[in-house]
Amino acid sequence: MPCPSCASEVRALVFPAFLNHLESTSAEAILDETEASCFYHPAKKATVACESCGRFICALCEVELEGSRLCPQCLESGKRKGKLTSLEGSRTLYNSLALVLAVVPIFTVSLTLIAAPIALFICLYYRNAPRSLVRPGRWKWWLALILSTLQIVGWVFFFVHLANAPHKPHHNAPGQTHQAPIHSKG
Amino acid sequence: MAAKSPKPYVKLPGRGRRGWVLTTSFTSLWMATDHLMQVEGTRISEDYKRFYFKDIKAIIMRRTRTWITNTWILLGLAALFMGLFALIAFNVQPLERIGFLVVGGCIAGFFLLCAAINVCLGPTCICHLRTPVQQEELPSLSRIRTATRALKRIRQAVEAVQGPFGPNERAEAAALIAQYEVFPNAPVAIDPHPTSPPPLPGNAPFDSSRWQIGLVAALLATAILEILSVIGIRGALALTLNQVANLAIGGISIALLARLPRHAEKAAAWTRVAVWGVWFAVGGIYGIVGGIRYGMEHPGQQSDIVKIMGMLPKTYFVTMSVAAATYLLWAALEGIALVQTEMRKASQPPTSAATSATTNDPY
Repeated sequence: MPCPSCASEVRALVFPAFLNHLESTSAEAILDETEASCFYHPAKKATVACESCGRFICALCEVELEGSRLCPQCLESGKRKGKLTSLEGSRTLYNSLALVLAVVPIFTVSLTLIAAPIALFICLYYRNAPRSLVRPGRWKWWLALILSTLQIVGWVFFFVHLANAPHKPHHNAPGQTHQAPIHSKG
Repeated sequence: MAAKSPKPYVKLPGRGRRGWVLTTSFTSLWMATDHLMQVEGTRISEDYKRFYFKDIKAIIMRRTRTWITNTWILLGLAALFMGLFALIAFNVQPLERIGFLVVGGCIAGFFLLCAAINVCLGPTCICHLRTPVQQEELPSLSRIRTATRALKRIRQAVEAVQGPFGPNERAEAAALIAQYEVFPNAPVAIDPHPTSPPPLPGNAPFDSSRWQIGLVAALLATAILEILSVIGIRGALALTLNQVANLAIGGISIALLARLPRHAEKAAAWTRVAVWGVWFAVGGIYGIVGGIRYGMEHPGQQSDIVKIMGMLPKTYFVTMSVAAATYLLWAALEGIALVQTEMRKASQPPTSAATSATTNDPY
């Protein structure tokens, strides 16, 4: 059907949830002192125990996630510690960062002197850091490790070679000329 | 031997892009057993947005004219470069002429290839996913062909969770949609901008159209001056005007960057500032080095910008100027598109958030 405003062709794929209304949850108040109350709302009736910490929680506090019923605090701590992957909103990809640091400076050559050790450090320090949720492969980590190591080895060889190279005088003393030894024939 | 565990996420067709050159992020859509996940990633980080199948109300696909516009822009750029290099070629020595024509042909060929790919990929569209509490754009579904393939798979997965429509439900949903179609001016349930709150009194949204017009004018002026310099007109006045226009581009871009609220426009302003900064830095370094070199080669003589520019090899100068003119024209076209969007928005009556806030929202 065309859009009534701009006349663009619009197609809508509608599902049964289209007709659902948002349902608000409410917790029942305690009627009797013998009733168990919510840990976070003492005036509300507890309906379930948190499957992580065991605290009694009311219908307002109950969160169902990955088949478990959790209280808000366990949810927050699970998110903070990265135990609940379904709550993760973003991830830093250290293996990609290391690979960028190992590859991009190659084009400048000299920058690899700084970038390669940083890339190697990131590779080793964050070796167990969580990788991408959708592409969890380790090839970037391995490639970054190999490239940064090779660059560092290359620089070590370069400096060793520089240190061991025979010293050549740059300036001749006044009145003297530097000449290669002449071998007399016969 | 243990069987290999299945992948938790399966990629759906399509890949989208947000932002411009330096601020680009790529988006893709992945499907798990119970939800759809939109991944927006830069080179070193990923952001995730999950849409559970049980919550998805609808997916709306709107056909756009972007692919036609893009094709015309690419064809125009191809013609422009071929014409520009042909113009230069007929003002140089016969030996250099072939070189200019080959380079011009290569650049024009590149743009023609891009136009051909754009046509082959087919018509463009914008897809939105609607849940009870949000409406999100799905930038990865930007071509109708790709979106249709992806939606087929999403439909199967969602219907497996929500089940099919009941006999009465289908009629009810059709009636709701028809109400929207037949009475376009009536208060509607589907709010096109659910996340944008109504503007607060005394805090009117920033109208960037005047700034954008100024920026487009500066960009076009600089592009024309660069083209003039390629064909040999590069006097002191032209170079001074070029510097003034460059400063205007930088100043307006930074001002826009500070005040623009929207993601895409902000990214465009960032890109412009970054490119302008690099360009200005290169020009500045060349100016300093060229000044020193001129002083050493011509002791006692006063150097100026025309003399310093005159020291550049011709090929280098032409390449730099053509690159600058291309970028400036591209940025100017982008600016014109933004101005058009702003003007179109300004001409539309306010029907979005303020209106829908007072309606009986059945959701």
